[in-house]
Amino acid sequence: MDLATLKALKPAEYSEAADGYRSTAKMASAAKDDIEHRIAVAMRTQLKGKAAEEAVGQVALVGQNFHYIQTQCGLIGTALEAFSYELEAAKRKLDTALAHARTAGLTVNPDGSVTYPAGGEKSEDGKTPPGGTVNGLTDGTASAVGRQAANFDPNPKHRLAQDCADLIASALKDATEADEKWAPKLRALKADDDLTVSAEDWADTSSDTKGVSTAGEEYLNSLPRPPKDGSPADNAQWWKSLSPEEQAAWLAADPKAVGGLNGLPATVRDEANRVVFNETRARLELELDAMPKPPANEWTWITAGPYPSKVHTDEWMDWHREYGDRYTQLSQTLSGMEYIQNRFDRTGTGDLPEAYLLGFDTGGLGDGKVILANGNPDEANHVAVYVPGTYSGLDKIGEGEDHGDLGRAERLWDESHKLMPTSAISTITWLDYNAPDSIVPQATNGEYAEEGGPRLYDFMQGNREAHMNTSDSAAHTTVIGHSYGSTVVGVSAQSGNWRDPSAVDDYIFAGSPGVQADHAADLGAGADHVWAMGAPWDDQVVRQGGRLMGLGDSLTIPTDERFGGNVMRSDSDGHGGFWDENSTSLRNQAAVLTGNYQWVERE
Amino acid sequence: MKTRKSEEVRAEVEEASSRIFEIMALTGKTTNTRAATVRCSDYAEDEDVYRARHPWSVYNVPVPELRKAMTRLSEGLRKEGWTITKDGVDDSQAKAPQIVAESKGAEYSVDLRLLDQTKYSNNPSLIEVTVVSACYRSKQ
Repeated sequence: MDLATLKALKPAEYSEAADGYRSTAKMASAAKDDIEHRIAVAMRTQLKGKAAEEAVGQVALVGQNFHYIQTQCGLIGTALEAFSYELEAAKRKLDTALAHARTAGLTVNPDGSVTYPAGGEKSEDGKTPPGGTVNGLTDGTASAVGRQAANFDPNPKHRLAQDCADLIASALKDATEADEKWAPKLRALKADDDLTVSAEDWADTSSDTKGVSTAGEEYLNSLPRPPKDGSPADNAQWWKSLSPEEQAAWLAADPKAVGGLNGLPATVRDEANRVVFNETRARLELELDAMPKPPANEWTWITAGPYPSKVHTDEWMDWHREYGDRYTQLSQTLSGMEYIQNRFDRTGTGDLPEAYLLGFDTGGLGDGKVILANGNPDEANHVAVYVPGTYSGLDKIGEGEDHGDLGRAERLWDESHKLMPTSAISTITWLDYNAPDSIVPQATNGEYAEEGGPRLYDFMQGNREAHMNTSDSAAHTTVIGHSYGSTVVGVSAQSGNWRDPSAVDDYIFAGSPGVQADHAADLGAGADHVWAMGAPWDDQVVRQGGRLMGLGDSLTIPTDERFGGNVMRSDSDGHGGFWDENSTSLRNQAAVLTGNYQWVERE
Repeated sequence: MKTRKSEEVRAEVEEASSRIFEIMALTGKTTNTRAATVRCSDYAEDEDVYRARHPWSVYNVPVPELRKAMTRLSEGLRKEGWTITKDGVDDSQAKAPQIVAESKGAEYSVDLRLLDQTKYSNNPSLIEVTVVSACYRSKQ
């Protein structure tokens, strides 16, 4: 870049262009929400048949397109903002140099060299030290040598000219570097113009995100950073302190960090996590596609000894050794993500509200991290957080025709909506701990809960903080622990600090093997607000197993009388085989989580 | 146990709900929740034994009208061949009026309760309806 170009450049124009992209991103986001929350929902409820299904599928693709536009425009906006920031710095340097030159009576030449007039004290022979022209030097050694030479010159303008020339050279160098760095990045942000948003497109977005956040480090570092290990209140404060441009930059450049911060509004976390979700899925799909498929001839029979036996073929074994583990892992993760996508698509079936992806990570502590809300928790009157137990994980999160652990939270929503049709309700599936994969020995070990409990505690505090900021009040909040999940809940209830505001009003334990407390009152919500019930899932094994292994203090589990909480009925009580334990416990849980304690049926 | 398609069972349960709504003969508001597939308690996860469950309610109706609707339900269901297995109050502290009935052929069961909120909050009083199917083995 030459002097004339940098002189004429208006970095603000790039920032204004960034504004344009940001508002396009906003528009695309609104269009996407409109399609997913209104149009697709209306189509699903009002149209039936093959053609209708096809049409809903097509509309979903349009929604995908808008999401893609939103993400890409967000990235372009951030890239332009970062580019403008760097040019601005270079431009400031140049302006300083030019101002110095003017005051010192120096002439700046079009090539960046600086001419100084004769000046200084006359020498013994009566001559004024002559003027000259110097070129800017940006290399450290060269510029030191240049400065020394200038210092020896009796003409003091020589030194001034050298300084100006160096500053100009360095400004031009910075601007050229910014230009060279960002030109390919901005070119890479050009999307292909077909209508299909493929896995390749999302994977490309993922590499664009990396490109922009690496190249834009300087700009991003200039923005307030999220507090390190901040409390939910600190996180919320940080987010509020950002201008809309800065929020957009963080969302575009580091959606993973934004999506993971407790205390941020649910809408923001959802937006960030959905980008992470789409990019991750694309990356894994491409990896899986690139892998050779398992050979079709998996089995063969050999006869070694008296009977033929079935063994894997050599071909299959070769494949398995090379790819088996990763292939299985990718397939499982992707099927878990498919369950989440299916939940997104169920929005609007009946009264089911929008889904909010409040946390997502394929790794997490080992089982993956999935936090998904039915309905916006920040605006809900009643919020319930369901913590699943043994065997749960991302790969099984929506398994079966009942949609697994995601389905459980949906059923809770349905049931609560039945009891309180005019209240805003949000039910959340929370899986952010390493759930035991066996009952003995894993589920009889408190370690998993010790690790998960504090994470749940932080999430609940964040949930409260975000609700306060959105609705100026806290929601009536219930935490429900199933099986080993109740041990996690018990640990979370005893985590944190007595100065923290209480974020949970009611605790429900179903099929609990112990909650690491021997009295309901130890949990901090008051014994009246602790509810326990037996549950059908491997119930006796889990509950009594946990008792003996000491998951409860003093061999106590929540369904014991001496624990001191409410024990809710969970059996069918002779109303006929139709009213099984699942059904009774679901209704009781809904009565508690909507604050209708008078309707709970107790043991 | 029958082998059924979940979709079909859900549709049937929703039909039973429509019939129940007709018997109530109320012009209030109803929730729009759809029937869902849930697991039967006594079977292991890999057995794929489910039932359909449809929870909904009618509200924005004065409580005396809701009471009359409960009476109509008790009589109407009996007339249509349902067996009333309970007609009294439930076991909650509120002692909510409750009717439990099973359809002819024992294909569905319904739990109806009158939830009177007037004593407790400003939320709407309502008739709570839960229709469930018998357990079936799912045909994928």
